[in-house]
Amino acid sequence: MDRDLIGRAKRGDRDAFTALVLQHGDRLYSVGYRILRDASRAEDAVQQTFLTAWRELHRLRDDDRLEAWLYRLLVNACYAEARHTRRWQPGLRLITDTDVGPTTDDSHLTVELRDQLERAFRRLTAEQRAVLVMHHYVGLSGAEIADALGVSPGTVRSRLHYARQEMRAALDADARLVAEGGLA
Amino acid sequence: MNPQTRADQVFESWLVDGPTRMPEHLVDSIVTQLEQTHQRKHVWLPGREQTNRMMIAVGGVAAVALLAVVGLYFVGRGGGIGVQPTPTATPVPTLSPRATPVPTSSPTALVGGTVATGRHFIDVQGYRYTFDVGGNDWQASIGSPDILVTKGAIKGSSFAAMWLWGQSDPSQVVWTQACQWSGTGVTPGPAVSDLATAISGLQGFETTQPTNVTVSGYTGEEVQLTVPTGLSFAAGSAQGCPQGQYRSWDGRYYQAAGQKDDVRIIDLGGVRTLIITSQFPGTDAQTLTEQSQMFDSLEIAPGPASPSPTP
Repeated sequence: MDRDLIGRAKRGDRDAFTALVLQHGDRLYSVGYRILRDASRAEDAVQQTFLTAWRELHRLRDDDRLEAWLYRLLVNACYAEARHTRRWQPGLRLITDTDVGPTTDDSHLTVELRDQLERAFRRLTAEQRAVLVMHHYVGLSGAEIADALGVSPGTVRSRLHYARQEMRAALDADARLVAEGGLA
Repeated sequence: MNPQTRADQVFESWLVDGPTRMPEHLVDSIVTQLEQTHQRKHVWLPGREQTNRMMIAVGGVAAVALLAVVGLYFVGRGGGIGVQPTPTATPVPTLSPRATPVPTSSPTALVGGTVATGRHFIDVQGYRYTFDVGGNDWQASIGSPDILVTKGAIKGSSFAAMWLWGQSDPSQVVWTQACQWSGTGVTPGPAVSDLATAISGLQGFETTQPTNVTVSGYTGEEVQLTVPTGLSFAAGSAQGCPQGQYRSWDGRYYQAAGQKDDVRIIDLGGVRTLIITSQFPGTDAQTLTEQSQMFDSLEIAPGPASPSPTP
């Protein structure tokens, strides 16, 4: 199915490309949101991903690798978005409550714990967040992430190791606060 | 249970939480953008490469000619075998234009962080930007935008900035509605005037018509954008706008009513480059003076390993 759509899209068929957007959009948006933790920026990143994909579709040599290629474009778009937010700067905006999207049942995670995780996650670099999300949310292996992102497996391992350490430290901090009666 | 495994489980529970569907308006926006976006095809000789090849060819011919002249000179001196060459006029070396005298204090390289007063330079994409910083408390960051120099706090009333977008120009998508921007993006054509016209037509700003401008010898167009004074930006978020953002183009949000951008769009060797000064309406006079001084003193010149200048 994808191959037919990709073939038509490569020949300039916008309807075929729109069908690909509908097929892959939810997945990309979910991943983008989780890397950026900001609905508006995730939208920007996804839009940029698809526009780049449309413009550069001729570069996709192996049609079976569309999803991996889209992930790479998305992650690059997320890096660019993250750079925008890191400084003012011309585009800075504050994180507001509206950035938190609709939620599923999360009653087993306390508000404080979610807050700890959120803050710890935001302290990570965009590169570390990306591998964390690709591994723990998308479910890719280290080798698959390396392949999708175009980095070495060692780099993925290193980023993953550091990022997981940071997240665990956040959990430990939360546990200490609970034990000390500070927040819970 | 292994503590790391437990931590992973908790983290994964947290990660699962969040939206899983792309908003409808995002689909609409992408479809709209697709209509205005052209696919790139395999083209082996884009304009600049052709230019480069021509330059290489011209350079090669010039080099051969120079070698010939030098060769003839030495043959003539050595009394080479055969017919004595006809005396020719000695080539008079052409004086290359002298550079503008360097100011008494040499500029220092601009780095991120607090900027000392004085003249600074930075090389971006083959061009050297040199400018004066005439007061304290200016901060620089480099990368994205290519150059950004600010003074003041965006949560305060006094704030001024100058920045530059070149290769990483984010204005490829211009939102025609500042407040309800989603789905209103258009892609301006590649020319300086295309972007200037698109910006001057933005809804939700007080805008000026594009006028011709010259920045350090490079021509382009200038447009001024002002955020209407009646708007409210509590905590930096545009009140009444669905996503709290007031936007002009991709990545550009505004944080204050009355905030003003002077956008100069110049063609720098084929790269559309934006040099913007921005200020809040409450910016103090001293800061505004320093900002003007910074822009007025800006010199742009081909830097090390730069492309040929096309001012």
